[in-house]
Amino acid sequence: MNLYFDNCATSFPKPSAVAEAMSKHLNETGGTYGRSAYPRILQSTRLVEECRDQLASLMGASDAGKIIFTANATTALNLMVQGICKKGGHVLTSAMEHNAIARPLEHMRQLGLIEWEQLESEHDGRILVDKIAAKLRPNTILVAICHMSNVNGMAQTPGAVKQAIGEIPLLIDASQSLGQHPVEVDNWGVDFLAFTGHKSLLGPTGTGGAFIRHPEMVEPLLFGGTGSGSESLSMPNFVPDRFEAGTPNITGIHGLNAALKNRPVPQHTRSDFADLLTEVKRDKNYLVRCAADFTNQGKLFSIVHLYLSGSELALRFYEQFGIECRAGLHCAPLAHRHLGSFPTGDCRFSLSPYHTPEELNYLAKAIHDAGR
Amino acid sequence: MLAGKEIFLFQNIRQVILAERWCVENKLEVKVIPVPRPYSTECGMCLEVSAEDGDMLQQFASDQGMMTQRIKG
Repeated sequence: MNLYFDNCATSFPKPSAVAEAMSKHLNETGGTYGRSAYPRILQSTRLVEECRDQLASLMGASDAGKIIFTANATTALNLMVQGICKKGGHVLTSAMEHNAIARPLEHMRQLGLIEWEQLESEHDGRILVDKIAAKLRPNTILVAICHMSNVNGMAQTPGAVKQAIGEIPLLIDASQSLGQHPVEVDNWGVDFLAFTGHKSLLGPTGTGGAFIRHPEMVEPLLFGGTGSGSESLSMPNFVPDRFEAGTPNITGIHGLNAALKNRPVPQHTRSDFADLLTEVKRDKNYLVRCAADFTNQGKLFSIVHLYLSGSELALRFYEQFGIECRAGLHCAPLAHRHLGSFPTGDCRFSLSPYHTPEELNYLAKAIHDAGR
Repeated sequence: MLAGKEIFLFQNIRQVILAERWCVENKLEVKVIPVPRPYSTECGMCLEVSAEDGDMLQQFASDQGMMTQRIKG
């Protein structure tokens, strides 16, 4: 029985093709990215570009050349937040931000470069789109929002947000959403997106990246060799090279590519997940943190017990039921402030496509039993 | 460079791979080779095609908005 319910932290298991692809690169094929032209390099480089193309297709981006690889979503967000905010201005976020956005913004504020504030939201953190206009200023340079909360699984509607902000650039953090929820950067008009490879995409840790529609608006975070324009001491002004200094995580990208080509058929239905949430909400010992409208619900939710702390609950789940879940603030203190669970946090469960209906039923029963 | 061949240099690695893929899909004879020193240090690899296919590859590159340097043998 698969009792790992911490897929928001990092997904497990992965498709077997992920480890096979990584092992093949490490043990058989080898080869770096570009730099020369012998067959080993060519094969390795083709797979990196195939991965870029697959990611573009998945997120609805017509220009895969604007996807760049980084070590994780946090690096990508730092690149974009710091790279865009260097010139100063005013930034808006949602109430549900992870520290991956909040800390870079706060750092830029402490340097005296920007001011930032939150947009008004519903109880579940959903942005009140019709209240956005009142928050905009002449010097608003960016709206940066977490697409899907890692605390309650609520997904924002980036297309509606973009309509409300017009020409102001929109950055979305798709760390939780890409791979489990529709993402359409072109149709929505998203200007910047950060993703990670090891969560819903089921790839290895150490992979992630960004979609950067306007490379000219972003100062590079890293400087170094790209295998292009080498006669110049400045970074190239074309993408992806402008933001990919140094040898990328080729082994990891091959693994991510394999994950994208071998997406598992979900073992449970959306209805099974809805039944689980309904069952948990019946339990009067808990407050359930989830989206108000199930249409916007990602495959995660949190619970707050009337008396037990999140950490006490998590220990109980593991020791009595073998269930692995996560307690605490989930690196999202702002979201917990909004939801009313700061500073104690809560206990979070996040699903995998490999979970069966029987495993979801087991979880529901364990939640009832642990809370008594 | 061999007579009857052309070399295409691209702005970056991604463009080389995309152009090579297009050549293979369209059954052009293509070879990925290291960038010859006399021409550029732009990136580590470039494409060699037959002279008779050069115009087709140039058209593809132009359609894609790729910046290329074309060297005829």
